[in-house]
Amino acid sequence: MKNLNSSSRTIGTSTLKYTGLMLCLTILAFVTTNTASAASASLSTDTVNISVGSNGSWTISGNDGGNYRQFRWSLPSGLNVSTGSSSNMYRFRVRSDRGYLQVYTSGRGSFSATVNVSSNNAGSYTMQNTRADISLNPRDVTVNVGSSGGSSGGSGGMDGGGGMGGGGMGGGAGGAVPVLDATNVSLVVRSLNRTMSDGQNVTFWVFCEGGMGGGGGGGCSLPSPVLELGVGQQANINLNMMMAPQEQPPYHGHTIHPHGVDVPQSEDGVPETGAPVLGDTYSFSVDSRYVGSHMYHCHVHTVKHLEMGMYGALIVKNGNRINNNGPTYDFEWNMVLSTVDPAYHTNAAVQDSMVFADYNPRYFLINGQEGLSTGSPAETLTAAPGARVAIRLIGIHSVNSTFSLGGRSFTVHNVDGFALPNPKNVTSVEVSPGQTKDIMVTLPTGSGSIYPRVTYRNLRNNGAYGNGTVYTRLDY
Amino acid sequence: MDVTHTTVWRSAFRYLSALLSLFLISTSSAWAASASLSTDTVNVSVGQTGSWTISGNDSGNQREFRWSLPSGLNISTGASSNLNRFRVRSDRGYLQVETDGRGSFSATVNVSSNSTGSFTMNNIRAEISLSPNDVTVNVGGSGGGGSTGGGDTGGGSTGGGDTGGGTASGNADYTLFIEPGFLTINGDGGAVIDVWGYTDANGAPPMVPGPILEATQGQTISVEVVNNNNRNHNFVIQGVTNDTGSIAPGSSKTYTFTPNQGGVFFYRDTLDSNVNREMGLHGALIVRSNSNNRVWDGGPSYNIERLWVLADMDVPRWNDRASNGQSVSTGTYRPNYFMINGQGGFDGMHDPNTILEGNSGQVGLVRIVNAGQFDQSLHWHGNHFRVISRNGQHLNDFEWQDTINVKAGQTMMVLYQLRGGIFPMHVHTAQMETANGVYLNGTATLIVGN
Repeated sequence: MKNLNSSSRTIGTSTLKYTGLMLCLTILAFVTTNTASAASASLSTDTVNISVGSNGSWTISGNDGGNYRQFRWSLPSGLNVSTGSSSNMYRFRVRSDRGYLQVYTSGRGSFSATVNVSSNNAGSYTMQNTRADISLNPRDVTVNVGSSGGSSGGSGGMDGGGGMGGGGMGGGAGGAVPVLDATNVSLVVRSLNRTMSDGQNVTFWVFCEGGMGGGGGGGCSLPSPVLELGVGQQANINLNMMMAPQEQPPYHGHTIHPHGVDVPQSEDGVPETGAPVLGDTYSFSVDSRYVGSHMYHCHVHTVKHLEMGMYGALIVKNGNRINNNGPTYDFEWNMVLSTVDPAYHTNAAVQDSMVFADYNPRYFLINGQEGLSTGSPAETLTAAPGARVAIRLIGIHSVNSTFSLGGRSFTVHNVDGFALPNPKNVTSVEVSPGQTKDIMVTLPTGSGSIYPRVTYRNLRNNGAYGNGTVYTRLDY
Repeated sequence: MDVTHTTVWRSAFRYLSALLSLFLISTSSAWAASASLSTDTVNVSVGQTGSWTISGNDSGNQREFRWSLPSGLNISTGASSNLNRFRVRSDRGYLQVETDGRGSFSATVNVSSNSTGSFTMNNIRAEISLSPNDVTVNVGGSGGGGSTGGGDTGGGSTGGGDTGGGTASGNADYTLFIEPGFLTINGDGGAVIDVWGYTDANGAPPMVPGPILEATQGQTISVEVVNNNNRNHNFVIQGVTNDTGSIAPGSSKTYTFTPNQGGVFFYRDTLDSNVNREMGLHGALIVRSNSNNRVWDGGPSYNIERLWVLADMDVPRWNDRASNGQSVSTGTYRPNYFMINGQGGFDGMHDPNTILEGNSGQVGLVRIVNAGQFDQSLHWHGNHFRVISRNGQHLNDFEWQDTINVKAGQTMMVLYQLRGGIFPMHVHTAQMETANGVYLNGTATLIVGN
């Protein structure tokens, strides 16, 4: 508090007290949400047997440990899926436009959701789990529809692009990054403390879901939430500055720069070209050229604010198609690349500090996690043998990097969210700061594991940093 | 060297940059910029002088016009107002009229010939609406003798300018002089940095980056380099010339070459483990196509063009030591200054030769040379662009990107279609956005669509 007082002399006393109080509240909020119990969920059954035309159901229930947690299942063609009763849900809906059923808890502990299923065609339909932010067992549900003299009548299942669902960040417990719908989302800015692998405590600033009244519902994460936008839809991203940690003028406030979707100047989030820094709503829509991966981040005093963690993935979706005309995928994995120089995160590193004259990254991250070896991967995705996996590489780091599957070849489909004129088959790909690359790999038909990894490299001679390789794990 | 933190500068700049968008909006929306010629036909007799005038309003932005120089027609500059440049570039085959961004302007061009005939000065560049475009000079017979003929073409002394000092032969198309001196980075966090640079006149202050060299595909040009510094230097155009031999202090060397590829090339001093290049001895060669507005012969076309030469300097560990004759530990390089066309971002966001500005819908060609030792990942707001060339190689697929990694010592060319509005273009790595820690005085400029 004393520090804050002395460094805040230029703003009025009442504002000062207010800011200080809010910071305290913010820290308390984090302490409470981060010390939650082990979260898990289960399904009432992995098999539902019904006859043609009749209804069945299955239920997911569990405890989200006080955090917003999300689950998704694919929507098999020919199966009608609808939402039944539920409790403590933040979102519970069929996203036929994106090819998945979404169950998203509200961070209030125990929850449940009942899913109704029916079909007009006999057959076996498997709703495959493509995302589970916390431990889930069983994962998939097979609906067996027996023939019974069949009434053809009905509508023949789901509309839309369908097929195997999008979804699918594997997300180990504690590492889950929320996925939010960019068509109507409200974000706040909060501090987040993390203990790094060497025991050092680092403070981040992140965007969290939350509207008026702040609180954020415990949905805070590093990186900030994934924002998803369907092609042709309009994004409405509200930034609420209530209780936001921030710097003194001229670097006060925050913005959102929708990086890569080429928005008009008024939505660009750049203070130097006129963007408001005390809260705004960013509205834009994009055409089919933009189907792919992008990012968003604060554009106030970027050398500080972006490094502090104010970034996340912004994905333009076209069902489960990698771009407008490209192939479809069965699993989807966002990987946000970032680096941390802890000196940038101290109280001394504000305004035009000499700290910003140099950059010495110590922590190298994928989705906010260090992943120093194959034995402790930053994140694990469980896919299926023979599945087509899309990996979205979103570069918000401040050094060079290369991605590989450890020698296995893969295909690069998009650069900066635009389809390549000719997709490229490679065994490694560079992702430079501010860039995105969308790649796809088809997994072998047997079971096994591969270790997708990013090696961070210095800007002078592209040499790898010590401890600069971050591993993830892909099981099938 | 001393970094002066003047709070006056700081607040003045911030105030200005906050108003920048308003300023640009107001100037661009004030009037539609346009220009016109007094006539499209000038009739004179042999030996007699006629003239035509361009006048108009540049709406507060520097704007350039060029006309061809028909062989046999003598052209000279007459009266003018509010021009930044008004000159006959016979070495490059055009008349240049460049306004200075103060609104209304005019320039009168004098023409004459000693031969009868019809000579058309074709407009080959007009950054704002211009009507008419071309001027035809009809020279009627009157017993004329043919003394001068040949017009202004001669090989000549140009670009290199003044060859006053000792060792330049003056016979090359360009003469570059290597001189020690200073580079000033304006704005908060700025500095006066000790540098060595190529410059275009004997004894003149060094230019960082060095003078822009221009050539045309398939045409032979020569560059003479005079070393006025007290140590060995050299001059190598990456991918174009191969002579890496030293030029001793006080001596000179002439390089003659015929570039066949249209594009942009990186010239620099390759000696002393990059110290000489880091100290400022670097620049760009632009090789133009033989057709107007094409990047290379048969290549894509563009409406406007910019050159961005990027550099970085580790002032305390490299410049301060090298300029004092001390050794540099080249294993360590932690640059604290990042320049675009020799400026920090504060100037880079105001310099009309750096800002990519034009009318909405126009296609801007940007030639980029990274003369520094750090890779530069450049993010462009406002639009995706097409990458058409990397390191002098024309690409088959023009990929769309919004961020391009121009690696140390490499060149790239992109085509960016302007849209209405003001958008930044900046490097996307932390410290490279700053001048010694001061935000946005690193690699940054603006993209402006009117």
